[in-house]
Amino acid sequence: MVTSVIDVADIYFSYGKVEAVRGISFSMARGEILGFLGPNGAGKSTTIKMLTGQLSPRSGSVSILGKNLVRDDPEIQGRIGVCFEEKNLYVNMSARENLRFFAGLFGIRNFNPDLLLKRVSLIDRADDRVSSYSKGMRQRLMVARSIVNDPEVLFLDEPTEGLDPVSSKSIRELILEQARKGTAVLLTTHDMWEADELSDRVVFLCEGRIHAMDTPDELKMKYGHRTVRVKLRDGETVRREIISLDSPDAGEKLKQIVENEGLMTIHTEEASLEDIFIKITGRGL
Amino acid sequence: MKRKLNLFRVFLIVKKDLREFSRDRLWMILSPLSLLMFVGLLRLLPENPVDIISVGVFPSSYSVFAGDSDFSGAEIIGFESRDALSVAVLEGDELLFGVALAESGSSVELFLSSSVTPAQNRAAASAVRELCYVIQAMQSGENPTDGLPVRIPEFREMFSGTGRVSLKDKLKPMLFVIILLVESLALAGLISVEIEHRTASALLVTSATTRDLLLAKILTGVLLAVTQVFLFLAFTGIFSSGWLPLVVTALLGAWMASSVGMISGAAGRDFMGTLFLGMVFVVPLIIPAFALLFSGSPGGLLKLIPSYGLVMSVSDVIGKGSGLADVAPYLFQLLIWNSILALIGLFVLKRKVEAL
Repeated sequence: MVTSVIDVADIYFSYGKVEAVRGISFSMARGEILGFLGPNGAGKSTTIKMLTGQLSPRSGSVSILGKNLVRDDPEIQGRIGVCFEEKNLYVNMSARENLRFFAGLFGIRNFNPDLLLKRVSLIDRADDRVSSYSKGMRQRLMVARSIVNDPEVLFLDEPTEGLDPVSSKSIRELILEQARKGTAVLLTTHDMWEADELSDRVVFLCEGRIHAMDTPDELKMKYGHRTVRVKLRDGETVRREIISLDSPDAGEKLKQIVENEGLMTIHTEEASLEDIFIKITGRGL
Repeated sequence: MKRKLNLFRVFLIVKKDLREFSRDRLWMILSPLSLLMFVGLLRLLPENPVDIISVGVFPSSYSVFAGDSDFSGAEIIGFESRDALSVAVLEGDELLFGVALAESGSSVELFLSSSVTPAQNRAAASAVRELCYVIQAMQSGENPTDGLPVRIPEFREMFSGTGRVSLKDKLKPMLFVIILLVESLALAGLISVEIEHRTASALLVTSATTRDLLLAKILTGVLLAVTQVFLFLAFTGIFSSGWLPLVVTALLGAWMASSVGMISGAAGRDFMGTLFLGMVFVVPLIIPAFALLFSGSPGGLLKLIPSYGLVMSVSDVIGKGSGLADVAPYLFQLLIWNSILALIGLFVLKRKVEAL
């Protein structure tokens, strides 16, 4: 019985002398969204390429849906979906033609692209050539293409990079919807807020290595500081104070502040994933 | 595990390639335009070029140039003076050569235009020499043809094949090859765009395999080239020279064009680089066809050019009416070259696609 849909064991890859991925291991369950976070050159895209059969690891193994992944395996590749970082669409074809073509390659007969096009709000431009599309429209079509075969595992490489808030939101909703249907989603992103919002677990990847892997909440609990920021009027002056919720006398301090008549504002603060990333890896995104 | 080809996926990729081709303005202008130009060129060229050479003579009143003398194939134009003839030949562009006899008939001058070929030069000198014999005979009151071993009406002109090969027929193999190679550039363009835009990566994460993709590219190239060359053969009426050997030659030629397209498409860094590389292939491949325009046998090195078999096959079918069996050695040579080029093309393209 397959317990996890992706099993990666100690994979390595190098471009010549440059080691891009150095011993990565993890697994993913059905319906899980795993956020891969890391700066440029961290090895995120190389990892996705190894997991989708575009590159073969120099060592280690990749198992997708219980089967060892090798290049050109139509059975496995028919059950995965990939959204590339590059907008590699056929620009002289329409959105409808693009989706029909890819559905055909997956062996899907009588495919109706309109349902997908409605989901990504491109139905009104379905017959226009992709060359006339905006960046956001192309990205939405990329995501639609990646789920044309209703994949069990979905790889999304920076799916919302450079998009306006409306386009980003619609793509995030689509990702959540897909995960609710049981698709395992591996998502790479620079956007810590997005990763926090979408991911069940996040992986901090830096210089080809995994530095941390856990749920966003656990990482915050483990590495972050919960604080309360308050502003108090003290006679003619305004005093600002930061109280750590992890300190032993936090309760007593908070009680005193709440009872203080000069209390102006009070805010809770938790560590962001970005703060934790910097703390763990020693560098920003 | 052996990955099997899936012909339905191959068909889908070919269909997609043809759709992309039909929407590419550059090739949609270039392909029909080249076809139109070459068909037009062949239509405009006269079927049998006029071989009459214009010859200036002085004095035109001289009996040898007048009357019933046999100057077939030459247009005799008389001049008032030796100097006028000299100026007309040496400074004009109408006359190939001029013959000036001294009033006494004791000497003859031959003026040659700079556009005279060595063969025409030798022919003119021989003609003048013959003219001298005729004058000598006439001055002695004898019949110039007396004493000849054969009678002039017994001359027989015999050519290999169906007759003299006109310049128009000599041009046909060259246009045939150029049309094929234009389509090889079109395929190279399609491949380079697929690589540059990384759409090949998107194909290979579907159920389509590298083999499906490679076969589809070969077929796209063959389809584009063979369609163009069939249209060319049909519009120019060349098919009537021998449809079976021409169809087989066209198919093999299209295969060669496809292989060359794959090599240049995969080897180029971008679209312009691909076009440049394509030209590097195209120019040497036209050389055997170009060489046909000149008289004489092709040199040894020429026979080593991959398109030699293609050119000679087309040339023999058109010029000599050769059948499939006659051109089989040329087609076999083409087949060997095609296999080599296709292997190189597949290897280069496979490496390029896998490295994306």
